[in-house]
Amino acid sequence: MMSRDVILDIRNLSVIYDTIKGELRAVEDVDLKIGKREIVSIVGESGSGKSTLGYAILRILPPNGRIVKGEILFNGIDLTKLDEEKLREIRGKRISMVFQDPMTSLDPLMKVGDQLVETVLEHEEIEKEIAWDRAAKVLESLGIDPERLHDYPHQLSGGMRQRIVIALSIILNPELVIADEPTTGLDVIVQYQILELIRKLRDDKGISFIFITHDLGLAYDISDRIAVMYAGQIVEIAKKDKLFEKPLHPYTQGLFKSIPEVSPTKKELKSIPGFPPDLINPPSGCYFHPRCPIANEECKRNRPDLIEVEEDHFVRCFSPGKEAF
Amino acid sequence: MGSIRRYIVVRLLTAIPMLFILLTTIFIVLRLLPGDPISAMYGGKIPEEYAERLRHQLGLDQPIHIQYINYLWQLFRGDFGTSTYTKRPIAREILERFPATLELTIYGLIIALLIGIIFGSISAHKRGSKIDRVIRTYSIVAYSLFIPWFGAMLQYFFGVYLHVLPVGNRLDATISPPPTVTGLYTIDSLLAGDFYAFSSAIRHIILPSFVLGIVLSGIFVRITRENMIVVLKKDFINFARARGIRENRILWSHALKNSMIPIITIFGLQFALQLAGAILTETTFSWPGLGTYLKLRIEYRDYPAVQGVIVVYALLVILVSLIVDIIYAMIDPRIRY
Amino acid sequence: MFAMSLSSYLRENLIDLIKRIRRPKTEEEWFIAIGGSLILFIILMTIFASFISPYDPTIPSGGSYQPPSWEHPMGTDKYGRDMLSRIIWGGRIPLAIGLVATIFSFAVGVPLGLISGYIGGALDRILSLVMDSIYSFPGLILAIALAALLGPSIMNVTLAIAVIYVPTFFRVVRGQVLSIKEELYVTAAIAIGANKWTVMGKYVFPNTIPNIVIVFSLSIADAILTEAGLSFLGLGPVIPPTPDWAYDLQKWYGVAVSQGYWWLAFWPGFFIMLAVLGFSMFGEGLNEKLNPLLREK
Repeated sequence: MMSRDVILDIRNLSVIYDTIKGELRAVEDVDLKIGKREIVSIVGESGSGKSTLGYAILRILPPNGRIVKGEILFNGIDLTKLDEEKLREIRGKRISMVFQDPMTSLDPLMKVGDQLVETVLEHEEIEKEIAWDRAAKVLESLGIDPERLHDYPHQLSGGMRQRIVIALSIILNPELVIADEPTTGLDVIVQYQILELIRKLRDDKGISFIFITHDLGLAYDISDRIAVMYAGQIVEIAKKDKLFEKPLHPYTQGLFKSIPEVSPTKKELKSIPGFPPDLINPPSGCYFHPRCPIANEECKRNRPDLIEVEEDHFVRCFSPGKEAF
Repeated sequence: MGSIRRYIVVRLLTAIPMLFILLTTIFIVLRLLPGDPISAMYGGKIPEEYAERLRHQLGLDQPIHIQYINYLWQLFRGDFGTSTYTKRPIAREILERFPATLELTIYGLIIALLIGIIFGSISAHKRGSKIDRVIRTYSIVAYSLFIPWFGAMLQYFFGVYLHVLPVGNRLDATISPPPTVTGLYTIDSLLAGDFYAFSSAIRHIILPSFVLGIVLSGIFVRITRENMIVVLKKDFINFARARGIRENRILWSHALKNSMIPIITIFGLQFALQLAGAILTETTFSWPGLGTYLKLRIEYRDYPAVQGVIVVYALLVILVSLIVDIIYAMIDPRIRY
Repeated sequence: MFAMSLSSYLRENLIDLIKRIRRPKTEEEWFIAIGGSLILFIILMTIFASFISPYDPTIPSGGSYQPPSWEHPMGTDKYGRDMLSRIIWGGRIPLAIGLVATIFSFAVGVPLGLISGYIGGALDRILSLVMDSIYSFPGLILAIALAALLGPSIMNVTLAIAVIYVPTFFRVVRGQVLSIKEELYVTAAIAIGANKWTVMGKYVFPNTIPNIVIVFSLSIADAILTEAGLSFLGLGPVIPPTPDWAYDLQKWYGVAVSQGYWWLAFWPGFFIMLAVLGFSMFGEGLNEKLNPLLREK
């Protein structure tokens, strides 16, 4: 990793969900560094563990989820070892999260302004009017009419709601925002606006973003680096141009090949054969080997580590760079 | 988007046809079903001419549609008929006893709601833990209790064995009721500054309201728990956590408020159950309310009185459902016409 | 048709269920186990009453108002009748009425719910309106009205109670039908030409069975309470000296409290509670098991 200021350093993180059928390995051996003013995308299918990673960082996993291994260093402090009180101080104020569905992220019975004020007052001892002012200012900076503070969530459109959610996540000027599929379900124009917003926040306020998405195109659009996740592991991570130019992991290659093209010659829609693995009883060796066209005996037996194959380009594969798809 | 005023008006209007349907149903049940009410009440052991006279007196020998019109007409005028037992207007007798039932029901409901909401919330929050198990067991046992039995046991224990609480009625025989303001002895005696009456009223209402409250709480605990669990799973709860909001605040300000809506609705639907519970509680504790009145008049074969009470109960059900809907609309800004 | 799907469904799921209940792990399974045991206990006690009962419950066998002793573990009542025997025999009427009334409600409510939900339209609207009116009306009061009107006999009380629970079955089944109706496999079945009745019998009905069982159990619990309530208010079907839990409670609780003959009131009411508890726990446990509130991602 380049010597920029690293604000978040995830080392060897593994997260498990306890289910009736057994232990589900949602996140395994994740190493990830996020720098100041950096936007890193985490790309993967549903079930790849990307959302779980987000929840784990903020320690808001559901009751049956737990961190079994690893450290999450935020400016040197290990978040996995903090108690609830200290974590509360960090949540929303230094690291915050934007959830996927703006329709359900807001309390339907509370005015939008009250929810903003609530967030501020939970962290700072200031007067209600001042908090209210801050809320109005935040809305303005996001291009929203401060009158909206008096509205209830159901009175706002989807795009507006997502902007309110973003407002909630930045009102205390955090250093890092984890955005979990923030544009899914919104129409294209709004998507574009939200992306613009994120860029602006990074440029003007210096906020770093972890942008979780399943859309490679979006990832390219918004981020500096892209991490590809499969079956709970990071399988490839590199600067976006590098990744697009030369994807080294078979899975990444498969992803690229399966993006539908608009071309004069009608090509068959390719997809990666097979299904995502069962994370309660994962495959032996490399998790991707059952679907990998170039898998060999070693792939079936041993688990590859995430190795820096080229400068600042990490892959988890025994045959990186080989053309698989 | 409409206003709450419009909602109330529309809701009131819809209540009227509901009222008609219910009154008509009662009429059908009480008059049209096979079986002559007179001989049923007397077990068939009544000389025919006396039965005839009774029937004529009650207007049961007239054609059905005339009976129906009379029935509705009288109800609208507030005339519930005359008791065959006391010969007094039934409407007045019901009005005399209504405050007693009201007082008991209010206190019982307060206890039930407090227990229900608090236990239910704790149980939902700590789902799967030992305390959840205990609370759930409590809730099932509570609503399986047979009120007269539970009441009798408490009467024996506190009233006879320990001799600390009275076993029946609203006041000690030696104390006269306070001047009527609300009809609720506990409130009226406070207003009148009559401490003896107040303490007597309180002592008399403790056991019955406790019994009613516990049994009703079983259902409330369960409903609160179910709704809280559903709400606690919602995204905005987790999002609040992600914003660093205290767990306590999340539970009581966000989760509970959002659970209240279905809870209030179910409360309204369960009101019928509460009335039934109130009847049994009253008869067990000789509480001079509508329930005891009903029981006694059944014993005395006072047919018009029995009909009157049933109609009143039906009216109460509609009224409560109306109020519940309005409160529901006041809390949830999404409900408007 | 219904019988066929019912039996195959039972075969598949019941065996699996019983296996789990033998060793209860989760609290739902505990509820089912305890509830089921209570039900079994009460039913067996009632069926084998003539074998277990030490005395004839209708004939005096001891002194009047005797407290519990070795000869009479639950004491005697005013007429010297043994309370233990009266308890053992006393469950017949509540159970019988509860069971028969619920079966009757089931027989009327379920088909109506199936038809109404599946066919929809005006029929559905009218039926739903009628059912809702009955449902929102206080059950006990309705029973009181019917019992007072028809005269208290076993048949009439059973009928009165049965009417109360018809809407419950109706609603549950109708709700299930409505949601299942939209499912893809039903549309698929219709698409390949199955007729309405076959679809209902083969696909819709079996999926409503679990909830029907739950409602059945809970309704029996409630029916027993309602019957007890009616008895307590003097509208019970019992003619002395027939033993009946609620009748005994009603008759003796006055003296029990004032004179301290607690055994006369405690045991009848306790057994009412046991029976109700059994069916309630069973139903609740089953409900939590089959319709879990928390489905993991």
